[in-house]
Amino acid sequence: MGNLEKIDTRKTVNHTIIVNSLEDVKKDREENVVYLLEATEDIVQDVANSSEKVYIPSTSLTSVDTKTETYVYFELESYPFFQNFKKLVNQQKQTKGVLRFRRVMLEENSSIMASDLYVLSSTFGAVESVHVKQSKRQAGLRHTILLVYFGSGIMSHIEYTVANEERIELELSGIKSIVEFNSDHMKPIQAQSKTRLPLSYTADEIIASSRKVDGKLIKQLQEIRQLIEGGDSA
Amino acid sequence: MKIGMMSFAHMHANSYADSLMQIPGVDIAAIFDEDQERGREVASKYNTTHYNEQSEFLKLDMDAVIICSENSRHKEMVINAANAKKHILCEKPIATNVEDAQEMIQVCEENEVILQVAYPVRFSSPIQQLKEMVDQGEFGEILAFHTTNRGQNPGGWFIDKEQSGGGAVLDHTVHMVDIMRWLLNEEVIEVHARVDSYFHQVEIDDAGLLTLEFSNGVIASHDASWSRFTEYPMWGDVTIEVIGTKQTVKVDAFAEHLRVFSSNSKSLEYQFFGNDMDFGLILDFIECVKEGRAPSITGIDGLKSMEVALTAYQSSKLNKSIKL
Repeated sequence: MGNLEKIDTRKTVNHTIIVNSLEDVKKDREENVVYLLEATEDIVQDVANSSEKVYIPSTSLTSVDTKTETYVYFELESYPFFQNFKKLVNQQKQTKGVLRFRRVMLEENSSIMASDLYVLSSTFGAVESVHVKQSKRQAGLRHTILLVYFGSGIMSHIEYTVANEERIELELSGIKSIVEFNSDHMKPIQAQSKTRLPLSYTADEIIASSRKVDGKLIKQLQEIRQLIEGGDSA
Repeated sequence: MKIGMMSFAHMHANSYADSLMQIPGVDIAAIFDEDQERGREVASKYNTTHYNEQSEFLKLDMDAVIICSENSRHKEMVINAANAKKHILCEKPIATNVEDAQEMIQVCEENEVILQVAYPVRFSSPIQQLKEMVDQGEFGEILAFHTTNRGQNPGGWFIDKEQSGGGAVLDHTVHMVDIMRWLLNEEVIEVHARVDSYFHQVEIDDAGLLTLEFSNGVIASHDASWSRFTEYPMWGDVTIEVIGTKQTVKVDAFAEHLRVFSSNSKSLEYQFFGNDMDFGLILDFIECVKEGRAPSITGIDGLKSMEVALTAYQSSKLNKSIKL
């Protein structure tokens, strides 16, 4: 389940079928097929309460009964750019550095912030401190700055702007090494295209990066959310 | 107009001297530098006289001096030049502590000489266009800034705290804080920062992240570091993103470049072809002296931006937000 606009079905290994509801799945059920559903609140609850093996986005986790066979995936971690980034970080064994992460998103969503921080902490180590500063909300806009120190020795600015577009920027400056990503600069199709690339992922990537939902994961996300919500507002 | 150069310890002195040479009617009257070899070399290059005695140098008939010494010596040189009735352009940061900066400003006022602080970024054409957009209300209400100023480790006295007063955070915070103050006409009221030494195995700081709040509620992030290494395609960067209710605009002062690929040690190099902001700074200072007008970048501008950088060190040390 997820934002279907972001799931690229062209390059997936799993056979995928897009359906509108759980009823559609039950009606024409096929073996070895991954069914893709839009992650609306109603559908998430409906599917989570079933006995199916389900993969839901981390931002929908609050509305799920965790007794079911539920797996959660984090949007950031599903992106191919981030998987490559994480691989590089692990290869280079950067213990100290400056991380700058920037997400421009369509709507304010503290679940996305908590999810991103969870993914970043799984890459750079436990969050040691968080300082949050938020701008005033004006004309539907808001900017949030998190100054986060990861225990491994990474200082970071993690920033969110609510605006009429979607973009991710990422930069890690380490010793004799700098990794940069900007989704606007890395668009493979420029023109007037409405391509989601490079901010898209496949069902394969969702499944590979997902985690079984358990009490520990939910507790970690709750703690991160509390850290974020404990910040200042300008 | 006769301009004296006081010390070539800071590498910007070369660029400023080159700029002076391009302005009709302006002469480099003399160069004072206690480093004999360096002084003689640059005096020869600019076809002028080298002095190693500051008092002798300041007795010369000169309209103004440009000070590019180690940061810790700005105070001494500014006060001596002001007492000798010379107008002054002082390299940033204005000083290494608030008290020294205040004294420098006061002595210049008492002697009725101009004290301008060298913030060349104000003369970058893209940054000036940004200022025009802000002044014309094209952003609506500004909510936030997102800025960077990263470069290479200059080494030498820059990494000696006694002489520099601070590392990358002092070196690379003042420019962008000055630009944000200039755009908003507001002061920073709170600083929260993390400062550390990451990249060069030096005791002094070479990395810092600052979160700022201005008196009108605008918030800002700033990345100040010496994180760029010699193989990186460019020396560093100066960027600012302005997030406003009408639009968000990103300005990169060094975006105008050719990408040059080669099989040399740098496989990719950015060759900048934008306007020369150092020349803009020097031209403005010369015109300011000529017209006898107030400097476009005052001692107070230098002090306020330096104060933010110094507060970042305090915030990091205490691990808390500091109100100004």
